[in-house]
Amino acid sequence: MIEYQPFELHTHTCHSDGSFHVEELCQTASEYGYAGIALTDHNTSSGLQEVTKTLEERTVMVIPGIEWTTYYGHMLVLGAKEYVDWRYALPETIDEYLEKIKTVDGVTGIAHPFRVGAPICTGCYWEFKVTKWELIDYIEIWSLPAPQERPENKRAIKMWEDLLDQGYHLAATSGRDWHGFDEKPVLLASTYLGLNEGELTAENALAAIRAGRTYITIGPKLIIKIEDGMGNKAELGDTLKCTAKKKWKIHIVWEETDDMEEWKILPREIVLVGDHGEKIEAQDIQEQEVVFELNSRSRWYRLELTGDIGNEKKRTLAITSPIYMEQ
Amino acid sequence: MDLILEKELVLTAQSSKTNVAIPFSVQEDYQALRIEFEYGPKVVEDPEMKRTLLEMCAQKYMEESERPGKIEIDKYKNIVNLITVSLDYEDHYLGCAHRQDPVQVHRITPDGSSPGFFDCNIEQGEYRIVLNVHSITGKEVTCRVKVYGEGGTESDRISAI
Repeated sequence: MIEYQPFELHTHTCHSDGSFHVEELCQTASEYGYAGIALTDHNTSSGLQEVTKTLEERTVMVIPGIEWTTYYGHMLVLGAKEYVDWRYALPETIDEYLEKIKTVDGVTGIAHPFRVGAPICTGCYWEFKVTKWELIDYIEIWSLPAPQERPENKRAIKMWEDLLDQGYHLAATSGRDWHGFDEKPVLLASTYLGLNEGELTAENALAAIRAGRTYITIGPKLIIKIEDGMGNKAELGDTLKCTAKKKWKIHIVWEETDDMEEWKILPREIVLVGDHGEKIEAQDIQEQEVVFELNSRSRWYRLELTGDIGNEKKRTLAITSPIYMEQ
Repeated sequence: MDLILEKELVLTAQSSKTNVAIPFSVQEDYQALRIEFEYGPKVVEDPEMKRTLLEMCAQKYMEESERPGKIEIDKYKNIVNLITVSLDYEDHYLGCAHRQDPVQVHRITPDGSSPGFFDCNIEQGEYRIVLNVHSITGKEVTCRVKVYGEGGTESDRISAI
């Protein structure tokens, strides 16, 4: 059984340019309600030397990682069993490096692909010429706090959807690029990962990302059931086949979480989005479960929860990774 | 402390997005290495250059609808040069200090290396400081690197580079 838990997948400590010590980051993440984090310091994983079993048991589970902070883009590499050198990757050679990362079981994600680049943020804008997109596992489509309206994130979503249209399977994540204590309250997103039996291990978290069992949210928790009316079930990230007898449906409800009242977040609609980002169907989700029927007209479907954030209406509150349809 | 390496380099904007390797040899048993690294100028002071760079950024990285109508340079952080330091021993990557500080001191030890670097014994053999030149704008930047061995013999030695 798959159980979703909240994670923050993009963090920094004093081992690169963050102000947190490792223990402070883990403790703060625990206080914020995360089940786990990915430790992704710039160009080093030396912070992992300070992650002990005792620390994890007391605070949060830590996925080992590194942020490749290169001259041509930033890439999150999680769970690699060996170090792959980031320093010599060029726009035209990135595929070779992605292959090397895959040989050591790394999970690869493009960080904030449309953040303004040098000299304001060196290498932040994605300029690598990837041709083997099957070697990328996810795209950080939401970056920084209050991600839902940032223009660079909307461009990231468009990039992601263009790749989905081409047939690639890519999970969606959010990452706040967390460098230190918050001086004031900030509206934060979480990436929920669908863990096998809800078991909090790094291997399970990485498996969830690889499989596309993710959704991102600035508050509401989503309960999603996918079934075909014949007793078969599926998960986000799966590829489904529709037949005359087999009719796949997605059932969605949302649950309130602690921060929603503070930010006056109120879900109103759930939207089924398909190929080219087309909004196929929208239903009111305020009080009841919503059911969408899937078919093969779209190569992929994703869900988008919209609603109010304070006085702002029709804001995106949550986005799921896709379900793919066999054509 | 033994001085193992002392190097001064002048880098220009053409060095941006390159890695500058500075090899050195360790030929004695040390308990730690101490790396001193500094570069400057850090901040691009010229306001007109800052404006030009911000306008270039807006053109290159933002869609038309996102671009500010007029660049008010005071609203933006300083434009800075950024060079980070990473370290290799033979084929092994010993870490990187990816930070903005233009004056840095790092120690590599078996049980408490500076943040960014892995704890390790100081083996004899071939090392490389690698300066990761993320961004140099404007005029040239001068870099100074020194490496000391700690806990070895008392005499100062500079290895041939």
